[in-house]
Amino acid sequence: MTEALVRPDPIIRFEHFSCGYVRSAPILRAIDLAISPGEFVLLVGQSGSGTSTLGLCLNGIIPFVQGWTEGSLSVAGINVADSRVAELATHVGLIFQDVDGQLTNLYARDEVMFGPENLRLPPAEVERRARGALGFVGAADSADRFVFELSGGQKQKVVIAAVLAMEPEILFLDEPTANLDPRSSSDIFRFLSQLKRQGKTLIITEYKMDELVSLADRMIVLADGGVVRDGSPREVIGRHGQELQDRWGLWIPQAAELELMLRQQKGLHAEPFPVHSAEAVRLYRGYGFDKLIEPSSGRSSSTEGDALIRADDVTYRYSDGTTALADVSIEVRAGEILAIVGPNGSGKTTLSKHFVGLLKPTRGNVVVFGKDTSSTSTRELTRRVGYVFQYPEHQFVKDSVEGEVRFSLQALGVEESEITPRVQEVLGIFDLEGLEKRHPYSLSSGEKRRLSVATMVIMRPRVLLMDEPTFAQDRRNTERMMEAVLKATAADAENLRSTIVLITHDMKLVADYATRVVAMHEGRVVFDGPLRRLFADRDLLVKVNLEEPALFQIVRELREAGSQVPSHVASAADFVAAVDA
Amino acid sequence: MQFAIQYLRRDSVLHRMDAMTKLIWVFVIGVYAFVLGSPLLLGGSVLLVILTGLVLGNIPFVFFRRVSVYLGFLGLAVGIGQLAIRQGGAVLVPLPLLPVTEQGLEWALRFAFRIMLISFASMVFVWTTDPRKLVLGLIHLGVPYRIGYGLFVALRFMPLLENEAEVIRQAIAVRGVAEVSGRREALRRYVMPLLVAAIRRSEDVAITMDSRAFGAYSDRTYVDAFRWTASGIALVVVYLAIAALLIFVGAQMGGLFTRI
Repeated sequence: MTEALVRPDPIIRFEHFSCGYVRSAPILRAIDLAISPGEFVLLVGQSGSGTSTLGLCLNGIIPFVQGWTEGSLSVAGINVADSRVAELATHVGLIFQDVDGQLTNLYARDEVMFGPENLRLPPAEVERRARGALGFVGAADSADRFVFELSGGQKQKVVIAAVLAMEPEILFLDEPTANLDPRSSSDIFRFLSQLKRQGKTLIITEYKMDELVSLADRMIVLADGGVVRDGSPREVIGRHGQELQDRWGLWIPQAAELELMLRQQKGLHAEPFPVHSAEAVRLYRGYGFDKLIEPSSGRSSSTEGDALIRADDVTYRYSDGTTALADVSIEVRAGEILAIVGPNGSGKTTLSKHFVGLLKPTRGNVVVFGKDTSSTSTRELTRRVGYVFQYPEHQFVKDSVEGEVRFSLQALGVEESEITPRVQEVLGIFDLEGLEKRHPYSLSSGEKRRLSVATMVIMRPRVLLMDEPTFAQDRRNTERMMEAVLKATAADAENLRSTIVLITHDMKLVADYATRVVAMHEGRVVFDGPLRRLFADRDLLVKVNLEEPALFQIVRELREAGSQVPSHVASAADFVAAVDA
Repeated sequence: MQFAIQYLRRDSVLHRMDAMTKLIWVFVIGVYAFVLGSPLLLGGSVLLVILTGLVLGNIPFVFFRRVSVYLGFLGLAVGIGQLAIRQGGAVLVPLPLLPVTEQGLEWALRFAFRIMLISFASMVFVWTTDPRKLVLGLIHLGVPYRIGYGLFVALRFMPLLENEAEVIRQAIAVRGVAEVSGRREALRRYVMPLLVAAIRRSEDVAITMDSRAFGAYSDRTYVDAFRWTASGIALVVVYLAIAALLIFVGAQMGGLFTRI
């Protein structure tokens, strides 16, 4: 019997389907796509490729609330065009990355009951579903709390429970973990695998590929308004991995990246093509490693410059009495790339705001370039310290890209004759040439991010703080931005490189760039040292909701299995260089 | 932080009471605050409301004190105004610019106590009433649920917008700009990002509510349905009796419906 005969009728079927927000600019163009009941689909594409839009079509938000469609789409046997959002809502649940916009009630319990109540289900049934859904996501004890009191991870769990209480057969999750710390992300992925076992059809868009490739049955790549690749994750990544990275600017799992590099540079072919870490460990166990190979990246935590910023026993309390920082002492040194990591709400952002005087310590003191922040204005401090906020829009004050960058130098009082060449140079480095006259709000998310960094970098700060710089950025955007930052802050004849402080959940970013890591937990610094030591401390990782990046996991598990891979390997390039072909 | 939601979560007679009778209670107080003219009776009523909040509402005294600070300024301003306007009777304290006269003092106290009475009663209501009970009560009394929930969403998102406004202020402060001077420049800098943030939020909210079948039917289930409470009715009855007594006493004293 062939597969086509046993395959059940699709639960979702797009036929010559087009859609968009404005008529003149279709996002999806005449796509044909069928998804079977119970499939777990990993939907990927660069930002702007239409992954989110596809989700909004599934429950009729497009076209009933906004936008337009053409062609046909059927979901759970219903023709979407003849249905309505409320009917579709019982078949398709949507979950997005911005949790706050998805919590519309005051209490967690009300949030979960909201949908079933709208469906006019009997009270006993509503309560049964709410209890079940909150229990499923492990949030039963949050039921009577205000939703705004919950942490980011708890909020996303409540959102998922609220959607599950509608008992949809199909779930569409749009970057559900973008705002979450690694441990909370893993919790969400665990729920997904349970839901898959319950027979739900799942579609997820995510940049975190390592965890998902082992869960997904199918991987669909969207580009240029259509489906460009479709198959099992192993097929798509194995056959088109290089193209996914280079042409579509997408992340692929660490194991796949290693394999591609090993094939190219060492002529080694592991079969079947490894897509997740456990497979890589199994396949590479037999490889020989050259222990003497030096790490390729010139990063080292031993060359420490002077302390530029120093926090001494800093305690910070909010006006309502909550302690956000407790006895924090930390130095930020010249020339380093420091990563501050920790769970949502651990005090990372609160601490970094002290470095530019946006917050002043309740007790203790912060000294920035020799000046105590309690008696220095933020304006004065920003001459030395740049701060890039998580949402670029928050920092835009002008009507054009060029005006935005120019404004930074005008605020510093730089001579007009010097401004234009510097603006041109920075726009070039950040790949914003040709966009000078555009309104900052009209840029793509990657361009907005680069612009917000450019407005800081052009001031030539000695310390550049970046809060979640890779938030909602695909591989291409992340790499472009980090390359530009490194170039623009590089050492010159007079100075060491500018210090960069990354406040982030993105362990890959940390592993790729940081020279030192500070981990925070409940307002305290619980770790301060080199990356490797942090990832070696399993208990600490659990405590601070972190997980080692896939590469470190592969290296550790290989070593545990008796392989001779050198312990200093910290990048895919190091790994490949160390393999003895 | 969280200025929009002042509800204090604790357990008390007033907390368990339904929101609608409590709202009527505030209304009863509001009425007799304006009917009574005697500073003595008004002052006594203020004490009674504070006592009600402390005993029946389990509200720590410190909350009344905190509100009193704001009210103090307001009361002082109104009081001084009254002292100035209502000159008459014997001079009690011969201040050079603003002599405190008998009539002036009476009017100052009358107004200060009225403001305190209405403010304290409203605050006791806000502190002891879960916003969701208020919304459910309003819907029970015939407010369309789509509008009732609009109030909910507003309450839910006020703290978020407050937060966002603060983040935007900080985000702009680190761009090296001096504190904004003109109103127009402030509008340009802060309103645009805040508006964009609010619009983005409200789009998400609309999509979410639609996706949860909100508004699909003309009515919906309420697991926690509104119920009138005996304690609430008792509170209103007792206060109506007090109001009747005070008004009777006030009438004897000849100080009802004082002209403003």
